Amino acid sequence: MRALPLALKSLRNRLGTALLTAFTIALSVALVLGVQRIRTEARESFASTVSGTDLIVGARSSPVGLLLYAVFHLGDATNNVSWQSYQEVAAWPDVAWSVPISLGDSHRGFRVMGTTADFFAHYRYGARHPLEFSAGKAFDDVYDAVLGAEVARKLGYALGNEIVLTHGTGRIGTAEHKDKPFRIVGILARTGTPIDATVAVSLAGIEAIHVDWQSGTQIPGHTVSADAARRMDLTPKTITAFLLGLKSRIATFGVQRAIDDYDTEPLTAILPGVALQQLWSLVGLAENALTLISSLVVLVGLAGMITALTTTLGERRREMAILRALGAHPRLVFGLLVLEAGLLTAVGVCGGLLLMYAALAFAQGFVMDAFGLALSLAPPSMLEAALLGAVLLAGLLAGAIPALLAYRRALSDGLSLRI
Amino acid sequence: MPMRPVCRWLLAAMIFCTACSHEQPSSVPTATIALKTTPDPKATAEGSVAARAYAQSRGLVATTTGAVAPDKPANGDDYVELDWLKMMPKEDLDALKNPAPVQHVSRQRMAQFGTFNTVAEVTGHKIKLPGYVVPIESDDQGRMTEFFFVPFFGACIHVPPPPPNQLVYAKLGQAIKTPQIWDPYWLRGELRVETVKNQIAGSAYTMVDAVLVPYDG
Amino acid sequence: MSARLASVTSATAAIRLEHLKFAWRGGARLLDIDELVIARGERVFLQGASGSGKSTLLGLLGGVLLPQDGRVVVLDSDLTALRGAPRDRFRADHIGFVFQQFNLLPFLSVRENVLLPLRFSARRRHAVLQRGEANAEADRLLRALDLDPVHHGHKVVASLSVGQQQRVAAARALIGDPELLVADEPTSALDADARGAFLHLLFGECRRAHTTVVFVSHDRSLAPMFDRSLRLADINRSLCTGSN
Repeated sequence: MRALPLALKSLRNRLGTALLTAFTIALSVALVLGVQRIRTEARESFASTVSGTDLIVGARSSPVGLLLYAVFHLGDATNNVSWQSYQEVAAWPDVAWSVPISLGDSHRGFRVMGTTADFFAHYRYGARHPLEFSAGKAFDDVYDAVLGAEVARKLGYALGNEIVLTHGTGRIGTAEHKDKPFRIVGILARTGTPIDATVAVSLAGIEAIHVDWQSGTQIPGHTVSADAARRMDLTPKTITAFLLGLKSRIATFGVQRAIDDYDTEPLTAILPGVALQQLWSLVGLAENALTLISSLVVLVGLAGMITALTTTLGERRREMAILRALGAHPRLVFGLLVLEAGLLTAVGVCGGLLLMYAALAFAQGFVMDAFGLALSLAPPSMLEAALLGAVLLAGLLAGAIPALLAYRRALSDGLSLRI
Repeated sequence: MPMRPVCRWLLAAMIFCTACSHEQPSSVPTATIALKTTPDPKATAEGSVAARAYAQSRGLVATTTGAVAPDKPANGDDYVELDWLKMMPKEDLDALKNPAPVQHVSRQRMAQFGTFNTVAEVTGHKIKLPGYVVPIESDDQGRMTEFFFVPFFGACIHVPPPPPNQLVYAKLGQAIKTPQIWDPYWLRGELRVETVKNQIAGSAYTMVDAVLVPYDG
Repeated sequence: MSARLASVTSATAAIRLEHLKFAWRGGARLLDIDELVIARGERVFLQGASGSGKSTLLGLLGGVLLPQDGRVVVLDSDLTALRGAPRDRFRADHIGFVFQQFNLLPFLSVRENVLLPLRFSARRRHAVLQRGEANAEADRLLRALDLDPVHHGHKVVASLSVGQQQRVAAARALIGDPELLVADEPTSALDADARGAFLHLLFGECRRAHTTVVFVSHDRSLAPMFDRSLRLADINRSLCTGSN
């Protein structure tokens, strides 16, 4: 293979430019691959966040919004569901089980979710995996808390630790429920869903910490102690949303319509699968834009390579003439340049792959905290491998442009080059 | 309550995208929908007819006069095209044409009208149905494993949801990439009838090893 | 001086040009040579001014260019009748070139440059390997041209002086004993002393291998060193020859 050692040596001679070009390609490949991976992982992760739940019900709002705050703990509800309405709907003959949830507090940036012990029995994710405890059990007492795997890991908590909840969902809590600390009685095993980044407490617990927060703030002198609160009636007056499981799935549409038309209170019921699809249709535009832009970045990288190769062509006319004089066919000249382009692109592609993995490894923790999304470091999928192949092909084609120029010059120049 | 920056971004993106994308018929009920009071039996009965007319106008369901014609396989395909209305027993069809006053258990319960009656003739042989997919269950990678198959897209507020014998609860042998809920598909396979665990004894259509093929008209 | 040598039979002719006509695309006719015969082992000096078409003629001799009319017969092979790839192979096998400057590939070492023709010609590679190892042959040539292979062999081309580079180019042109050496002003970039030394070394090696030499230059002072001296203007009937 005559051309390969020549191409390698030729690139080594211009190592600086070559590395720079390869680096540009690497960056663009890392970008397009990263976007693709995050897109796919996000979709897979989101789609497998909740399963086995027929309907999710909340105060009237857009289905996507309800899905986002009830399941992904992103955004906030603008209104609540009254306890009476919840009780009534939960008692309908078609309903097999129901799980109420109450949102609005946080702990050191992680969302706090008030719910019942039924949550741990009925919540499923992925292929109907139930929640498992890696330590401890569900809550019993008013001030018991169960942590998601990521909360425990990031904040270094263990069973028995005490935590203080913060009012509101801001990252830095300026309004803490200091007088009513919670005790950790359970830690869940990792699920790869937003549950990992959630602190679960009982509904009674949520009521207890707000029992003296009548007008949005705690008034000194009118506080109620933790023990006193325990003895009070802690039935919630409102909840944020509730999950429903029906006795028969066929009844899903009927129950959904009944809830949507419920005249006591404006409610919305969503099928999680449908709402998810609607979410994708919204996000799809942004995704497509992102994919388009990252593809353009790759083209820019390749254009840089064409420029680099073409500008050196002028200097290399002599080289080409020498090779011609030695008996090289113009095809060799062509092949040499295409090979150089191919080598640069290949190095760029490999470098891009490494860069992407490095970036993913770096960002894994942050993304899990912020979005409850688990990014995996799995080897490239079929689609990703096809993408890399496409970039390589594009690099070879890009190299063909200066190569063709050199080829034609080699044919026509003869040996009569004037320096 | 201060919103996290990411939520603000997401919300803005959602608003922006909703403003831009109006290609698909929106099934989002807005906050200003007027509530129904007592469900009107005639309206619910007409609802099914209206739903059918809607589906026909979208070219989904072949126009028939309601007479039961013998099914013939078309195009050398051994899947017989099934008309959704054939899945309703004759009593239901008659009820639609002459709706009797309907009793309701409670005022709020605008029941999904219709019955859990099924027609045995449409089961047990290969059929294909045109309609839309409502995803229910997925696997660990988010690929769809179970879904409802319904005659029309969009939970339009002014038309009741499809009655139980106008939907199919289907399971897939192999998980597939979740299809778009607004794309029409052919559902191919054999219908079965299963007892519904309800306080009302009844049955509904299911299908195992369903196959979805994009609708080509 | 006549271009005809009656005593030269076709069997001993290294080069024979017959009714050669060449013009660059879109240009007027540059070369029009009725006949030129060069014997094997002959050392011919061809004098011509810049732009007179001497480099073009060398291109035709090497088969890099094809004439519009006429024949170019080198070592009994009609180059005009050969297609591209066989012509390239012929050039690789039988002809060595030395240019005025920038003869060497900058990304190869001195020794690698000298060995380069062996990559393109199986015949020359064979000829070298019969005598021993390729590297040894390259070193021998370098030494014959007064370059120390131990000192310079691995060096980057750019670190050599112009004179040294020209000698490396000569070694490259001669490795594997090609029958024909074509030189296009190889000494123009050298000073007077270096010029003489270069030619002396070059001819020594060519004599040993009985190589035919076609040497093109504008410098008449070199002519006496050659067997025969020609002026391009005399043999080129084209009206477009440049003035002296």
